[in-house]
Parts: sequence; C-alpha cells; structure tokens
Amino acid sequence: MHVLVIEDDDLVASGLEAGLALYHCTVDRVRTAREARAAMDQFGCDVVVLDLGLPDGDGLALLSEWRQRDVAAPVLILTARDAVEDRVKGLEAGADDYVLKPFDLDELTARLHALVRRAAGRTVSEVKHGELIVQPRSGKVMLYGKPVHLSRRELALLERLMNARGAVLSEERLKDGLYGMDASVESNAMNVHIHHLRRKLYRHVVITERGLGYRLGPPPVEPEGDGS
Amino acid sequence: MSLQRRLLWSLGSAFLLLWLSVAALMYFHLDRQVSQTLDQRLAASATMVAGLIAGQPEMLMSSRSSPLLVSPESEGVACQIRGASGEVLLQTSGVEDQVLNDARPGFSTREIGGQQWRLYTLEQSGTFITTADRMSERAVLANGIILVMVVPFALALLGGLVVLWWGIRGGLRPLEVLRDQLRRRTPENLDPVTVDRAPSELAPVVETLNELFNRVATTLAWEKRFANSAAHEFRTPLTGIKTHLHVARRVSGEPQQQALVNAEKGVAQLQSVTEQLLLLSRMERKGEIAREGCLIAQAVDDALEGLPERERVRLDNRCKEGRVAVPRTLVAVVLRNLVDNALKHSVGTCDLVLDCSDLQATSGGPQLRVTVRDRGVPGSSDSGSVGSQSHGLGLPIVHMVVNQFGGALESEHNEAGGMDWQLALPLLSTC
Repeated sequence: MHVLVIEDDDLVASGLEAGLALYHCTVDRVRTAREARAAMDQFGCDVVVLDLGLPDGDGLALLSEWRQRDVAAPVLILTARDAVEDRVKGLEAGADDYVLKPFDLDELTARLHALVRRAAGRTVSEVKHGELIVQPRSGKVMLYGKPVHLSRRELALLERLMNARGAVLSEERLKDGLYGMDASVESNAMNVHIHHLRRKLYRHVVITERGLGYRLGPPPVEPEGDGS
Repeated sequence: MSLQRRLLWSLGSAFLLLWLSVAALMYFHLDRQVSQTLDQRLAASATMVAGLIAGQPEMLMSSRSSPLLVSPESEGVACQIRGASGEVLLQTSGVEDQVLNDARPGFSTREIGGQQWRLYTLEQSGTFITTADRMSERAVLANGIILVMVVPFALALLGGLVVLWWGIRGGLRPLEVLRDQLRRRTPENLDPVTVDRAPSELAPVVETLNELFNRVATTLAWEKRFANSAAHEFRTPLTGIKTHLHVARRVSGEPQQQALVNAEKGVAQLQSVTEQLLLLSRMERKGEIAREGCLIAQAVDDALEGLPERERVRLDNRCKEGRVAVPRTLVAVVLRNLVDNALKHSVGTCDLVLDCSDLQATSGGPQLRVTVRDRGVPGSSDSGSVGSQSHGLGLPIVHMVVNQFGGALESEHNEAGGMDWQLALPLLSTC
C-alpha cells in the first residue's frame, strides 16, 4: 500500500513513516500543501494521510480542491482538532475517515487498509485470487495454503495488480505506486520485481501486455499430482 | 414588584391623593359658601318681612285672628314675629309658640323638637322678626353637592388611572420586548438584541448589552482557539512519542535507537509546551512575575540558543545596550516564539531586527522596536507566518506578555511575500 503522508511536524511524520513501514506500506511524506499538490500530480497513491494545519494553507482547502478535481484517492484526516464541527467539516470536505492525534498505529493502519479495500470494492481484508491469498495488513501471502515470503515492493506490486482485477496497469503507474517520490529507481527495477513474483508464486501471475503494461494473470492451477 | 406595577402604584397614589385633596378643598369651600348663602337667605327673608310690616303695620293687627303669615310646607323657611313683650304676633305654621321666643338678634343654631335649626332674628321698632330653616335641609343640600362633585371626580379619577396604566404600559413596551428577548434566549446565544423603536433612554442600554455580548463572544472564541491550540501543542508531540515508542517495540538495533531518540525529542517538545503553559498560568496570576528589566542582547542570545534552524535567522541588533522593562525570561520567550512562528511558516531566511534609535513616543514612554520578518512560502495561498488563527501557543503568549508589560504587537504583509511582526517593548528609563 502506497501512502502519501502530508504532515508538517517532523516528529509525527518520522513516526508515521517508520510505523507504516512496519505494516508493509510505502510512504511518501510531504510537509506543505504545495508539495502535496505536486506529489499528487506526479504520482498516484493508494491512500492519503492528511494533517489539517499545514504551514502554507489549510488541509481542508486542499482536500476540497482535490475532490473538485475528481482526485479519488481515499483521504484520512489525521489531526488534533477534536471538535464535532471540525470532524463534520472534514468529512463534508471529502475525507473518508477522521482520526484524532494521538492515535494507535495498529488502528491507523487498519483504517488505512479498510479505506483502500473499500476503494477497490472489496468487503473483506483478504484478497483472493483462486488459491493465491494476500493479507495486505499483515503482509502475508499464501499460495495453496502455504506461506510465501515477498519483499515490501513485491507485495505492493502484487497488491496493486490484484486490486486492479485484471485491468492493465501501465509501467509508469506501477512505478509511481511502488516508489513514489523515490527518484533513485533503477530502470529495470520493475522487471526484477515481476521476475521475482513469477518465480516465488507462479509463472503467469503477471501477464505482460506489450506496449501497454501489466495485468494480473489467471488464478494459479494446482500442479498435477500435487493435490492427490 | 414589576416596574410597571411600581410606576402605576406610585403615580396612581399621587394622582389619587392630589385629586382627593382638590376635591376636599372644593367641597369645604362650596359648603361654606352654601351655608353663607342660606344664612343670607334667612337674613333677606327677615328683612323682607320687616319691610312688609313697616309698609303695612295693619298686618300685625289683623293677625290676631289669623296669625299665620305664610303656610310653608313641612320644609322651608319658617318665620315668627314677636312683640316687644314676647307675644307672638305672626308666625308660619308648624312653628311652635314660644319656641323661637328667646332668640336673640343675629344668627344662632338651636335644637328645637329634636331637630337642629338655624335662626336669624331681626329687631325692628320693638318687634322681633325671626326666620329659621332646618339644618337637615342644609345637610341634604350639602349631600347633593357632594354627590354632584364625587361622581364626575370619581369617573375622572378612574379614567385617569386607566389612561395612566395605558401610558405606562406603552412607555415600557420596549423594556418588555427586551426582557422577552433576554428571557427566551439560550445561554449560548450571543447574537445582538434588537428592540424596534427603542427610546433614546433605552438605546444606550441595548448598545452596551450588545457590546457586552460581543466581548463575551470574542473572549469565548479566543478561549476556544486557545484550548484548540493547547490541545494541538500537547497532542502533536504526544503522537510523536507514542508512534516512535510503538516502532521501538517492534524493531531492534539502530532503528530502535533512532525511534527512542525521536521519542525523547517528543518528550522535550512536550516539556517545552508544559513550561509555556505554566508561564502563561503565572502571568495570569499577576504578581508572580518579577517586574525587572533586562539587557535586550542577553534576551536575544537566550531566545536563539538551541533554536532549530538557527542558521536561517539573520540578526541585526542595532540596540546592543538597550534595556527593556520586561523580565529577561519573558523577552526570550516572546522573541523565540515569534522567530519560531516565522521559521515554521516560511522558507529561506528570517530577519530579526532590533532598533531603539527610532523611539516610539507613546504615553508609556520610549519603546524598543523588534521586527521579525519572514519571506513566506512562494506559491502558497497564505503568505508568511500565521496570525491569531495559529495552532500554537506561541502567539497567545506573546500577546499576553505584550499586554501585561505595556508593549504592542502588530503584523503586516511585506513586499517579500511574507509577514512583518512589529514588537514594541518599553525601554527602561536608565537606557
């Protein structure tokens, strides 16, 4: 899961970055509304964590602006403003959830995963593709009931493809989701991750659509003689 | 008792007393006039009889056989004519013999046959002419006069009281409207009251009331903002501490050490916020802060010591020997908060200019001027450091210090796209 954290306080932001990384999230952090606009224009993210009191403007104004521009990414407001009218304003401005500081990291990640799940049209936290099961929050991947260890990037890539439900995703979009603002990405990094996924799971888990991008392959077929 | 009833009671009582006094005076005057008139009637009657007798003395001679001079009804003026020896020569019917015998000349009042009579006796040529009327008849007349006076007076009085009640009620109507508005409103409602066609006497009351509502609303808004700021200032480092401790529990080695270091930073921030709140509390309890002055240069050093991003601050101190009439700790806190605010809400450098050459002549004496100038964030909707809507406690504390020590704080947008904060602190006279 790729999270864009918009938070001006360095201490809170560093805690969020370190904490969300524990839950297999890719985190990009910006500190101002201006940087947030640029980040959102530059790459897509799965979910946004938005602080309201930004140095160069109000987070609510930024959120309203995004919603007017049809930016559909789920937004969770993370703030110290606890008044009911603030919560109502936040939700009316287009927020999908409202969490007060200080928060519990477990709860926050659970809420973020729930937002991404709902945005993908799923009702359960597990993502199933035949015998391939992914639990995004814990990062567990099961194939034929056996755990498979994937790196954070590989997991994020697989999750994105599974959430796309067979739709083709361009390489750029996948890269944005995986690396965010990290500019120091090797040109063949995506191919390496896809290669690892095919090796660790099964060969047709990712289908290359030449000139277009990649999509999730058909569900895994149990190897002959293995299930007897 | 309501104002309306009180007014009605006092004005009605005064009204009633005046009217009754006037009525009583008129009655007594009229009663005396009527009595005098009736007395004059008795005297005139006696004089008329005397005139008749003088013109026709044979009347007395013929009266021996028929002494009845007049035959009045049971009521009216009675008359008796006596000779020098006291014999009755002539009298009206109903007048008992000898009854009026001993009447002396002039007016007198006597009880005759259980009734009070008013007599007038005139002596003429050895004859005594006495005229008389019953006092009961005079009482009936007096009662008639009272009745004639009382009914219109009573009606006028009642009418006057009704008019008075109507006038008072109409006059106090704006007060009633004001009372109803105040009674109906909820304690949270601080909207101004409106009284249509308020009289000039009530207008200042309504105006003062509305100003009071406005001040209360402003104070409540400020307190709410302050509470929000305090909540923000407390919750932010607390969030950092909690998150980093959570991370520290889940990792080991270098990441764990880093998380613990970050948590400690949060504790330091929390401590700073607590100290500022305590300072604020002490300032609210006036007297706990010593009113001593300080050298501004020392306070500036204190303010900038350990400041994160100290390299972004350009200090221009043109007032190195200046002493301000504010404690050093507070000056340091004020400057630190202003610089913090400027650094947090802008990019690039921030200027801190201290100047006491251009002394501001105010009623409080010369002041040292401090300018904190930032350059804002290019391209952002807001320019520069924030004003009273800030989430921090810094600016409320600056305002409080400035107000308590007779200083001033103003802010304005500058040409660089940021804000200039102009702080004025009173200089010590020994400067």
